[in-house]
Amino acid sequence: MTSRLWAASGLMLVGCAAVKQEPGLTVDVVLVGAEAPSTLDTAEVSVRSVELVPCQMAWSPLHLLGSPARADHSIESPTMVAFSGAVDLLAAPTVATLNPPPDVYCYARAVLEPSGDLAYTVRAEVDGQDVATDRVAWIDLPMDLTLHEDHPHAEVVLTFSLSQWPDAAATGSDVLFETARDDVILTVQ
Amino acid sequence: MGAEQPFAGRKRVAVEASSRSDAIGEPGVNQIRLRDDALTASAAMSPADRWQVALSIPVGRRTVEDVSLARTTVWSPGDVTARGRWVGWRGTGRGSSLVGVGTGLRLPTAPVARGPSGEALPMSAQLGAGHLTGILGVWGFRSRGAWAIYGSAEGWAPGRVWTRDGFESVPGLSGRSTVAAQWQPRTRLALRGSLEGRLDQVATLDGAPEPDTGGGVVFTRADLVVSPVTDLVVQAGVSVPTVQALKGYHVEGPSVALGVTRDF
Repeated sequence: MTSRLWAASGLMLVGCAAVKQEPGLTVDVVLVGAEAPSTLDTAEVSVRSVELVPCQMAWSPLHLLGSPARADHSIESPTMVAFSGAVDLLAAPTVATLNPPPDVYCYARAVLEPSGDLAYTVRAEVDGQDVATDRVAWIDLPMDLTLHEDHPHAEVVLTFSLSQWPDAAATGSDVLFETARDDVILTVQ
Repeated sequence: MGAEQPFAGRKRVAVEASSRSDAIGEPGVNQIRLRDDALTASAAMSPADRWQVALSIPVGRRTVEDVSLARTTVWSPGDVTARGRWVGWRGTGRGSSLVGVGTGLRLPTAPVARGPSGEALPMSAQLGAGHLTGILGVWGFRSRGAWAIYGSAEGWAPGRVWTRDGFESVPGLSGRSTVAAQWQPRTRLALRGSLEGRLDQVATLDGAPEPDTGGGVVFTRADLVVSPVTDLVVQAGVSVPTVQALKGYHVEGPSVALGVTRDF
């Protein structure tokens, strides 16, 4: 510390600025598909945003009076990341990084809806048959995530289980949507 | 330093250590918390009874912390300020009365602080303003017995001439005023209380009003002034924001200062 102070003092004397940058809290939000059957040729989902919800905001009697404070999912914030376009669940994981404030987070709230120029929320292709839906859903996935100076980094992984997608797609777009919405597992690493 | 009576041949040097803080932006969303620690060296001289010129050179450390606890610390020289004071009227009779005009220039001498890849850091992390600022105002001083009062009002007008990269934001006009009263019960001891006000125009960024800028604030300040030996003054002060009418999310914090002034 002393040597750094002397170095900074020396730089200042010659008219220079010395800069030190320390990273803050980071959370990588990962979207990934798993257990994909070989018959599934395409598996895409449009996740408009993922928000980390602090426990103190998870539910309040005030919500009965109106919408939660952060209902506008069009704006990115330190606790919410927006994704544009479709996430290919058969490809490599999609990762976005958040820089949230220290807090205890109880939920990850994912909004499934067409984003950008997409006309669908969920799309699957099985044996050449294309099934898509533009239905919208909010999913609250419970988690236990505490972020503070001594625990500055975490990875929140949303895994879409694809094992039932071919059967669901064969039944119809509504069942495909419900399968995609309900077969999501959240893990914190 | 800056409120003393000028008389021909008077020279003063001073060093002041100060620390202040404020917070700008919406808490939990885009708030940044700033802390400034500065060491300012000043020199003043009066070539004639009616004139005083002064120069102050700060060096400092600014710490900026965002909501995710990411922290940037910058050590850098600050902007040099040159000032001149002219005594327009000097009263006669008991006590001392002075009224005059003050002027000054704050020069963009602080270097641009840059990140590891050479990009200029955000303006909030810079110790300098990045542009020339003109200062013009009036002041008055009155002392009688153990009491002295001082008042000043001045306008700060930023110019864009020297604006450099990293300083896209253009501040507006600023008005500043001070009213101070000093009571000196002993030769070597004085207590000073003052109100320091600032009224800022909203800054602009690419021609649009910049959020969380502009508005007014009044600080109440208390100083203990001690002169342990002749021609040496030690001053310690605490300043607390008592009226905050700043626009948007902007909260000023308290500040402290400790200074030593030597007369020649």
